[in-house]
Amino acid sequence: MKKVFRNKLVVVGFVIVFLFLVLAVFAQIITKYDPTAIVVEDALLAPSADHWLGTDQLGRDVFTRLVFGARISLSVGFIAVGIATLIGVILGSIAGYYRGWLDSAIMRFVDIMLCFPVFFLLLAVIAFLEPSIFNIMIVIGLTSWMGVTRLIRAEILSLKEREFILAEHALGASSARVILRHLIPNSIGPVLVSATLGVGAAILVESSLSFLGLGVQPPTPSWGNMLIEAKATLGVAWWLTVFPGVAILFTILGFNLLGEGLREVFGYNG
Amino acid sequence: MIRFIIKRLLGLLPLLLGITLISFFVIHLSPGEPTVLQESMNPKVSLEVKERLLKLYDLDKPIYVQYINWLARIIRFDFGTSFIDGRPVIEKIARRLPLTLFINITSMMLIFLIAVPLGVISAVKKNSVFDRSMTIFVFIGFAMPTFWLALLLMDLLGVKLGVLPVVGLKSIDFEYFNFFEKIFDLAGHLALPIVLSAFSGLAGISRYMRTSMVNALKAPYIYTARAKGLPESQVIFKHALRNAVLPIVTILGLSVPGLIGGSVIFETIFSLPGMGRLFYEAVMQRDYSMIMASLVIGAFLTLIGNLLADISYAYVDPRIRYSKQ
Repeated sequence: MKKVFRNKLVVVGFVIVFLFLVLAVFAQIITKYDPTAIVVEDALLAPSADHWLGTDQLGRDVFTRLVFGARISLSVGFIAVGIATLIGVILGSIAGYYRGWLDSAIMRFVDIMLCFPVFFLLLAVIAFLEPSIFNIMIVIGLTSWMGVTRLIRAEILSLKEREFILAEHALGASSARVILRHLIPNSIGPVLVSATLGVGAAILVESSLSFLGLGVQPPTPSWGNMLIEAKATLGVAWWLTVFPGVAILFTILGFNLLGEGLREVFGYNG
Repeated sequence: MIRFIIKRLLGLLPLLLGITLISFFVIHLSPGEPTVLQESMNPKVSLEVKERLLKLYDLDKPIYVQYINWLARIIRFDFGTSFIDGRPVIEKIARRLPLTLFINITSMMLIFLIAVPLGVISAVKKNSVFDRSMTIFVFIGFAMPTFWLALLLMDLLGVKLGVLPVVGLKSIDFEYFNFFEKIFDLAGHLALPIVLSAFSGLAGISRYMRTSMVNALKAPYIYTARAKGLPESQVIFKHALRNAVLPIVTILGLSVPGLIGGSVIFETIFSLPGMGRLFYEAVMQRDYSMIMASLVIGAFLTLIGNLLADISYAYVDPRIRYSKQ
């Protein structure tokens, strides 16, 4: 753990991510405003002591909406990546351990999935579902497991030939035990790295979807759908355009720095 | 070379089959049959229309029959008709595709032209101030929501400074322009979308170029070249660069799906009549046959992109051509 926090990238990334996490968790305590309460007479106020980051056309406090938006973005990011990682670990370890036709079938499936422009696939599925936070999480998860699958498979292929795994087999351990107790725990480093980077990517996808009106639906604030309103007032209220984007940029930057830092710590290149 | 191409083409067949299979099931597994959707959009859909739809999509038959019939039709490029205006889907896509291809190909060339020199300088002057600032740029580039950057630039260049048009492909009085004014007008409208689309790929590709070049500079043939007493510029540009740039061709091929996906966002923001916006509209209106066709064609374009990358790689590098035969 000490070694992890000696890495500069990890520290910077961690501080940024931690800050957003705190904002998201304590949203209600941090701000006195309601993210969806409409106060018409306060519309489009510039940033001030009362409204730190100004207000939007409906008089809602931008800072409050950003803080509540952090909840949405972070939970979409974490859950989508959780789903993707789970699928990836299961399929990847089956492919890598059992090889044979199962391996070929799974890897061809990965190849085919990678042919689709992810955004097309996402939109196609969402077109037939109600765009809700819950659906967004699942759909992003279901369209982003391919990288982890390849990663885990490669890890397991190389681990499988190592002495401690051969010894385990010689001792008569079952396949399930070898996979669950030895192979997967030993590939945790790369998985952690790719999951951390994945959270940033998922947040970017969610905000793009919400920006297109196919993600988190108003009045629930999300960084993406706050920018729809910004587009409508382009040139009028800079604070509506600047702050949600900065929030997205820094959150993703935080996760990417953390991920790259962890990659350096684990000494793994991929 | 011919043999290599034929082999690669044959290898695409199972992938194509897989693409159609996934597209078909993605849409059929979603709740909401197309007939239901049609009805929900227009309550006046008569029983007769519903019957016709059922027949058109074989929705009364088992699902594998539906798939085989659909496959048989799309092999002949018959993707059915749009639910919105009844025109053939393939015709609508064919009209919108050139613009999307133009934007993406131009931005790919832009990426290549900018990323290669950046990567080379970073690699040659490793750990210099330039290299360090490039690293920071790459981190920001990876984290940048490009649709936000688009908004900022629209605000700055379009609204505040008024130097570039921000929406559409042509000005209102386009018809009255002479040839050069027309070109200039189109270029103005396309400048932001192309630059932004290139920006989203720049960070990654310049990073790859740097890594590739760093590795190339460590190769034994570089020691040989230096030992022969070649000037450093020749070592870098003739020996290292030529080898380092090869993998970038493949990476550019792999970036095709991202670019095509990104065109949904850019074409929507800038109101450009390309395939991305067509797809977005189809999604908003739940135009079933249009969505299916766009999915298949989007994936198909990716395959073509990868194939072209492979072929050009094989063309410039005989090692690939012969080892894979």
